[in-house]
Formats: sequence, structure tokens, C-alpha cells
Amino acid sequence: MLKKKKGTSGNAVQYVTRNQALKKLQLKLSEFRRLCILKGIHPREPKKKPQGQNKTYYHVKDIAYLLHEPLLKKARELYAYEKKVRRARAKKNRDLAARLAARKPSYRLDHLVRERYPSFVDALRDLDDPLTLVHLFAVLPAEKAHGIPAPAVQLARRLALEWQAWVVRSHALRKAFISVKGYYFQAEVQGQAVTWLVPHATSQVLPPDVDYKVMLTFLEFYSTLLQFVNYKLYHSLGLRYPPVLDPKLEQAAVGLEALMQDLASSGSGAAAAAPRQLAAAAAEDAEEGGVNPAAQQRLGSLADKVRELEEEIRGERPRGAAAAAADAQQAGSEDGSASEEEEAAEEEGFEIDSGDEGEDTEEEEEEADSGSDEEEEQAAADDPEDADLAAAGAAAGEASDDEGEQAEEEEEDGQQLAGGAADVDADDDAGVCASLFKGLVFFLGREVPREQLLLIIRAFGGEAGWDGEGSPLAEGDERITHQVVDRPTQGHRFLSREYVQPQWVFDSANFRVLARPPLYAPGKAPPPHLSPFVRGEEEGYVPEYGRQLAALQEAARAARKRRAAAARGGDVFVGEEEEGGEGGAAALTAEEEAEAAEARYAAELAKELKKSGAAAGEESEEEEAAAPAPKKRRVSGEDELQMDEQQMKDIMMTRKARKMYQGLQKSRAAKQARVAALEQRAAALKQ
Amino acid sequence: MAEQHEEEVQISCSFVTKLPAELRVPSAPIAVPANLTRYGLSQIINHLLALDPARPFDFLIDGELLRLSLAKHLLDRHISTEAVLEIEYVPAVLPPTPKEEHPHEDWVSAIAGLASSSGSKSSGEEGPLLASGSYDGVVRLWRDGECSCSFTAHKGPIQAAVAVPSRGGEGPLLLTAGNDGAVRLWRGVAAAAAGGAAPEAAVLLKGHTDTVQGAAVAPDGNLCATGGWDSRLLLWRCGDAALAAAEAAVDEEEVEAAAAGKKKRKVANGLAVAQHVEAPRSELAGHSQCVSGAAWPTAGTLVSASWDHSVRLWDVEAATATDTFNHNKAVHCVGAAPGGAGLVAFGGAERALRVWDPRMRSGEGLAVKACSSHAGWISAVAWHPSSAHHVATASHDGTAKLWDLRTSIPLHTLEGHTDKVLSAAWVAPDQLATGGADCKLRVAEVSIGGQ
Repeated sequence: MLKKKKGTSGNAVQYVTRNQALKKLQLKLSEFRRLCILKGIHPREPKKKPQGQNKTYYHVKDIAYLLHEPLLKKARELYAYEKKVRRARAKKNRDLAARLAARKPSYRLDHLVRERYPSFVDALRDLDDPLTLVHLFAVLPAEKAHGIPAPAVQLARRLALEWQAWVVRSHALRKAFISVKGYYFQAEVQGQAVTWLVPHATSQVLPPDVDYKVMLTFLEFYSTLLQFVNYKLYHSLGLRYPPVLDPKLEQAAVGLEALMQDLASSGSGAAAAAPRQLAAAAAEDAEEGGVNPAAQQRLGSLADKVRELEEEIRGERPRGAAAAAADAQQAGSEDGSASEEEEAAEEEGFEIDSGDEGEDTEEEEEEADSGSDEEEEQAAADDPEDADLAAAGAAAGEASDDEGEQAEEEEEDGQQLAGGAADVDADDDAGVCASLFKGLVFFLGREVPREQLLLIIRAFGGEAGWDGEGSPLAEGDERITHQVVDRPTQGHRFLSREYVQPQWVFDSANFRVLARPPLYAPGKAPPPHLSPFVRGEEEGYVPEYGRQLAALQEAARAARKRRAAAARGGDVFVGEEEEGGEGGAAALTAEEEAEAAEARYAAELAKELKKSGAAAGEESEEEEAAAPAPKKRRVSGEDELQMDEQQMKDIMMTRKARKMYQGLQKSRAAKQARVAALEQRAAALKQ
Repeated sequence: MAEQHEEEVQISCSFVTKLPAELRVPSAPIAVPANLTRYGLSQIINHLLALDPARPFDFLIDGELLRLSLAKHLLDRHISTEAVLEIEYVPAVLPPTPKEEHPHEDWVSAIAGLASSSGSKSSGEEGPLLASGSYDGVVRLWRDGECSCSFTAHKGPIQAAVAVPSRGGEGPLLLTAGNDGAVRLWRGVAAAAAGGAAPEAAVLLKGHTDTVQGAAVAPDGNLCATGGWDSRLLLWRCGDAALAAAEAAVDEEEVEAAAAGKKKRKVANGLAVAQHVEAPRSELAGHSQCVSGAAWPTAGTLVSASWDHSVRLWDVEAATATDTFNHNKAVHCVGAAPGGAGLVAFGGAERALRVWDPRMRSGEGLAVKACSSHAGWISAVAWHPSSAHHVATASHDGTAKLWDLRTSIPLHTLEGHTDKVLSAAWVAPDQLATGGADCKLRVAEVSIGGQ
């Protein structure tokens, strides 16, 4: 039996020190470090360190993995190249040096990204750190002293802007928080929550004790990863990547605006739009004189025909309007509020303080059954404007007249709180986020953090302009509903807009409700900025302002639910003219509406051809039966029985389990003590 | 927009049309209630023209068909209702009427319409000539509801059949491709349909090593492109040039045979041995998986679709890809608008038909529109031979749909197949043939004329 030799099995074979790895790979230390960062290889901490305590250990398999890396070859080529350049310079051979400069070997990191993130979801899960680093470098100055190259900073800035533009386009932003370190944002991308940090826009002092080479290596890899991710995300929205950057606006450093200039033009469809030829057509007519002569005379009798048609439409209006709404749903509109105007029966009184919001409110009130019981499908959820219309469709006979005054006021409050997202289903967070600021127009003062506010406002569906170059709005524009200022006193005030501090935007976005503007008036200390990353239920303690905002949230949600219920027809608000057809219409998904539109087109065509009276329309769907309230189970428990049971459980536990249980109880008690202390302090402060 | 009762809003419209004078309405603006739909406007036109029986019309506003009420349509597209609206009206496409149904022995996977040139038409109006290829490798020629000829074209299933225009007196040639990797060019098809001998394979285009999935012929008939499961997209010389080469080869052979006193070549394997074997003219490299379809938007550009999720535009002379559209589903079929209109329609492993305008370079959006109505994957796309707006699609849900690309709702649905529809083709400007996995070939009459 051979004696087991030392160092032939176990950790000694599985772990190598750093210098051993260097010798095996034949690399310099700086190169090795770079490669490890790029490949994602990190040193390990084995329990038994075969070579000593003060060495760094790597797994043998990791180093073997590095051996197959094509970048090794590139590293050696670069080294050889640099030697040539140095030699040429030393021999004062400028010609050769210039020629060599054109032949610098270059490399790409695409294969690394594909290796480390085999699927797109893997990349999304790891996107936090890359995004944060890229945003950091986008803000850093490109100092030669620390070796930060300007192209790297420009690339970082471009990638950060592209990412933000995508977040805005897809309305993916969910949370935003201002902290000492900067602005924390969280977006939801294909079900994954991605969190990143944007530093404050102060001039950054680069500390000397940070290893910038390491950070630049990370930046290199992360830039490549972010380019891949952006490409995939842009293509999933059907946008060209890389997006077109408007150079003039970029000069004006307007950031996001430069990237999103073509928002309007990209909305047009693939079919080329025929130019209007009104004059040309008239001229043609005059030239050829080729109009059916009888047609001219029949123009007179056209009015009767039109009246006939209108009566037909009015006769089938409950179904017709619902189907028309179905059509609109299928077409997928951008702007919901203007169509609501059409459906409105009567106007009600304006509210003086807010222009657009008031209009929104009254229109929303007028269609009683406009809530949409939403579709589980993501497609419809992504377009809450469709939801608006689907809801708006059924508003044939307006039931607003039937509503009582009090109910109206309450609903009004709820509607106002819900902002632009009043029509969206209460449970659809994505839909609510996408339309929360819809209809609101913001003007940002000079002193507020413009880029971050632009990101939030736009991602939640609002419009914004600022004081400076490239802004789409001027300060005096009458569409503006809110002005964001951060100065102690505000000189001239417009009456038609709210003046709020930037924190209002953040708080409203986090709680999905329009917070009360008077609390955020300029010059006043705003209420505490609550973090959306901390959930009150987990902590056990919800600060008082949090409770107030939660109450507002509840009111908004109740308003949305009420609208949804009214749409389903199971409420007292619904008038008699409306049948279950509306409820059915409200429940249609985008696909179903397309089918309905198709069916209607075919039916109308058949009607025209056969001149039959009643067109075969879709039958009104049955009203959904109100679900019976679940019976509450009465828990009957006597105290003594419970205590006995508890004691028995204690006795039957093993020592290990008992220790764990006691530890659990202790931590719970500590948490409650903390909460109690906080509440005591809050009460003391109030007094 | 004023907040009034919807019924009270009126829009002034001026109706224009390209139809002949007796169907033209004076273009003076007329006030029309905003809640009218296509039906209402059609009734107005019918009333003004006093048409009896009433003819349905379709209305185009800014190049898009009206499918909602006027008010909603204008609202969606942010068109002002205050200005006079110019509406062009065209005759609506009536529902297609099923004309014929022919049972086959196996799945019908390829259909081609062979337009007969004036020379070979006999007296009296004949219907168009239809060639159907099926999974038993047999091509059948149909005319006027009867199978006038059938011949075995390939050893395995036939995947593609295309008509090749020819200036010769024989009429159009037929190109077939199948699972055996062979692409054959057949001559004498018109004569065979009229009762003559079976067509003979003039040229065998040999180059694919696996099933040939898609084939398309250039508008002038001199070039054809084929793609197959070996991921290759090959260009061949075909049409009259290939025929001439075949004849030259036959002459040479005859001379040789006469000199050597050999007997003439016999028919082998029940399959006529091709007279001349040709190699591909060039290969367009770029696809990494099965090339499933090709189409020719203009004589010098080719568009190809592949299972590697991409649709590529090629410049044929330079043999390079000028544009690529990267989709996220395998693409099964592609069609291009005739007459150089530029639109490309493709369908694949999804239920929506995609329409891409590769010429739109401005703006950041990719100019792709999705037309969703099918309930299954799209297996074939057939663009109307003369109209740049009308497309027929065949789908695995057993229906074929007729689309006008100026709107996202299909015009009509042709039901009748009981299983997947595998192929669709326009055999004449007013006849659409579809074939499916239920082994049936169905022909329907569709009147699109005048648009």
C-alpha cells in the first residue's frame, strides 16, 4: 500500500495561489486581474489553505477555464504591439510609430457576455450593478490624471440615456427614491425588478484611493452587456437600435429629449400616408368635368338620407356604441381623454384651480360605466389608453344624471387622486403607472434636478418642459398644470397651476396617487420622503405620513373599483338604457375587439349587399353575477384550551427546536420594541 | 373639439375617387355626422349616385381604410375635424365565392397559377391554368375544374411550385422543388394541359443538399431564387436562358449519341431524367437556418425569410444583404408587393401577419405593422399579382384570410378547409387557390379590380 504523499489530494490539488495561476497562464498581474473581472472569476476561501494564510487562492478549474479564453491571445498581441511601439519610439523612428498606431489590435467582449448570460433573463437579473456603474461613469469627468478615457464616459452617457429612454417608452418605472447617495430607481423589465442608482448632479471629486483601472475594466464589460440588453429591449418594442440622437439637442445637454425627438413621427404606421390632394381633386373635377351629373342634383335629398342613417345609428346605439368602442379598442388609441369628451352627455362645473385635471374629472364622471374590468393579458395591460376607450365606449345613455350629489363629490375626490389612471383596473400596477400623470403637464424650474424628474414624469405618462434650451414648453404655456420649483419664495404665480417641490413628483409616483400639493408648497418643509423600498408591513411600523398616503391610495383604488363595478352593470349608478352589452364591451380584450370589428365589418357588408334589416351583431353578454360574499368562519377558541395546547407543544419540542423558537420570539419582541419606541418618539414630537 | 352630443358633431367631407365618371360624386364638401361608419358613408355615395342594386364602397382617409366611426378614426390619428376632410372611395371587395374544390391523394403543399400567353389560347375563353403540387410528389394541372394532366415531379413531397414567365411560344414554364433537394424546370405545360403529352423536365437545378423549402422567380423570368433546409439561398439562371442552354445540351447529346450509335436515354425510375443539369449562378450567404421563403420586390432585389428569425433584403447584382429585419419568431413565408411598391409581408410561427416597409429610414421606429386575426401560425403569404394592397394569407387554423394592408382588420376569411392550410396562390387576378392538409385544393373567386 503506497503511502499517501502530501499535496496530492484534497484542497492542495484543487486550489492554486495567485502566483501559481500567473505562472500557468503566463500573464502579468494587471492582465490577470482584468481577465478575472471580465470572466467573472473570483478567488476562493478554502477551509485549509495549503500554501499559507497570506495567499489568495483560486480554484484549479477556474484557472483551467481561463486557459481557453481567446482574450489571452489578444492580450499577448497587445503586449507585443506595445513593445514594438516602444522600440520604434526609442529608436526615434517616427514613421514606424505612426504606421503602427494604425494597426493596434482590438478586441470585443461579446463572447463573454454570451457566455456569462446564456439567456436574456440571466442578464436582466444581474443588471443592477452594470446600470449603476454606467450611470456613475456617465456623470464622472473624464480625467486623464486618473486614466478615465473620454470615449468611455461618452459611451456610458449614451447607454444611460438609451436605457432611460426605454424605461420611459415602456413605462417600466415603479419606484424612485432620493437619498444621500443619489437617486434610486426601480423598473420592472419582463417581470424582473431592476434597481439602479444615479448620483447627484454635483461636480464629482475623484478620490485618489480608488482603483480606477479596476472600475474601468468593469465598465468595459458592463457597457458591452448593457448594449446587448438595450438592443434586445429596443427590438422588443419595435424600435431601431441604436436610436437616433438629435445632435443639436445633445449639445444643449437636454439628455433624454435628444433621444426621444422622433416620438411623434414613429407613431405613424407602415403604410405610406397619401398626401392630401384637395385642390388637385377639385381641379381634376373641373378639368375633366367627369362627375356623374345626376349626383349633383341628388345632393339636395342627401339631408334626408343622412337623417335616416342617424336614426338607424341611434336605434342601435347601445350596441352600436359598444361595438364602436370595441373598434376603437382594436385601433388602439393614444389619447383617451379627448374621446371621452365626445361620449360626454353634459358638462358639469369646472374646478378653477386645475385646468386639465378638472376636465378629466368631469369627463370621467360622465361616463358612468367606463371602468374596464381588465384583461389578464399583458398586451392590453401595456396600453391603458385602450382601457380608457373600452370603458368609454359603453357610455350611451349617461347615468351621471342619476348620481346623487354626495356620491359625486366622493367620486370626484377619488378621481382627482387617481390622476390620469382613474380608468385603469385597480389591480393592474403597470397600467396605473403608465397613466398616472396622463394629462398633466409639468414645468421644471432651473434649480430642480431636471433629468431625474423628466424620467419620472415621462415614465408615468406625463409631459414636461423646462426653463432652458430645447424645451417643448415655455413657462407661460397655458397647458401647464404643475410647476416644480425648489426655491424658498416663488415670485410670480400663475393661477391655473400648482406649485410643488420635486419631492411631490417622487411621492406621487411611489404611491400611485396624486399627493396633496399644499403640503409640498414652495418654501415649506415638505413631509418626510418615505422610501418605497421599505415595506411597512415588514417593519411593523408605518410612519404617520405613510398612513396618510395609504389612505389616499385607498381612496383612489376605491374610485377605480367603483368605476369597474359600474361598468359591470351591477351597481345603482347604471341607468336603465344600458344593458349588459356595456358590461360585455368593457370586458373585451384587444383581440376580441379586433374580432368584433371584423365581424361588424362583415355584417355591415352583408347588410349592404342583402339590404336586410337587422344586422347580426354580437349578442349582449350576460351580466356577471355578483359573487356572493364569502362567509366568515367563526373561530371558536377558548383561552384555556389554547393555553393547554401551547404548553403541550412546548414540552414536545426538541431542545434544538425550542432554542430556535425562543430566538424567533426574541427577534420578534425586539422588532416590536423598536416599533413601540418609534411610535413613542413620534407621539412626543407631535406634542 | 367641442363637447356636444356625439350626434351633433358634423364633419365636412369631400369625396374623391379614381373610378370612371359615372361613379364620381361632386367633390363639393358635404357635412356628414361624425358617428357614421363605412356603412353610412357607403349609403350616402349610393344615394348620390342612385345605384341600384346598392354597391358597397370602402373609404380611404390619408391612405388608411375607415373601419371605425369617422369621429373615432380621426381622433385616433389626430386629424382635425375642423378642416374639410378628403375621403377617397373605392369599391369594396365583396366576399369571395368558393368556386371549386378538388380532392387530392395527399397534402396539397404548392400551388402555382400559370397565366397562358395569348399565343397558346384556343378559341373560346378558358379558365386559368393551375398547377398543384402535393406531398405524394405529383403535380396536377387543372383547368376549368378538371385535372387535365398529372405527372410525378419529385421523389418526395413537393414544397414549392412557381410559374416562370417565358417569351417562347410554349407558354409559361413551371418550376417545382421538393424534399429530394432537386429543383426542376418543366416545359410544355400548356400543351400538356390542352391534352398533349406530359411536360418534360427541361432543366434540373442541382445544388441543394437538403429539402428545398421556398422558390421564387424574378418578374422578368430570368433568375430564380431557392432556399432550403441546408440554410442556403441559391440563385439560378432560369426561364428562356436556361431553356436555351438545355436545348444546346440536348443537341450536343444527340450529336454524340448519333456518333456513338447509342440508344436514346430511357426514362429511369418512373421519373423523367432532366435533359440538362445546372449549377447555381451564385449563393447569397447570410442565413444560419432553413431559408423558408423568398420573393422579388423588384428585378434587382430579393427578400428572403428564414427560420433564424430574420428577413433579409438582398441586392442581387452585388450579392449582398442591404437590410435585415430581426424578428423573434421563425418566419415561414414572405411576399413582396408587385410593381416595386416596396412593402414586404411575412408570416411565421405566430398568429400575426407582419408588414414591413424597408424603405422607411427616418425616425427610430422600425416600420413594421402587425395584422392579427388568425388563430394559428401563418404558413403562406400570397400577394395579389397587380394590386399593391391586397394580400392573402393561409394559416394553420384552417382559414385563409384576404387582407387590405391599409387597415389591420382582414377583409374576408375563407373557411372551408378542415385542417391546416399549407399554401395559397393567386391563379388569376380574380381567383385565389388554397390547399391544405385536408388534401383539398379550393379555388375561390375574389373581385378586387379597380384598386
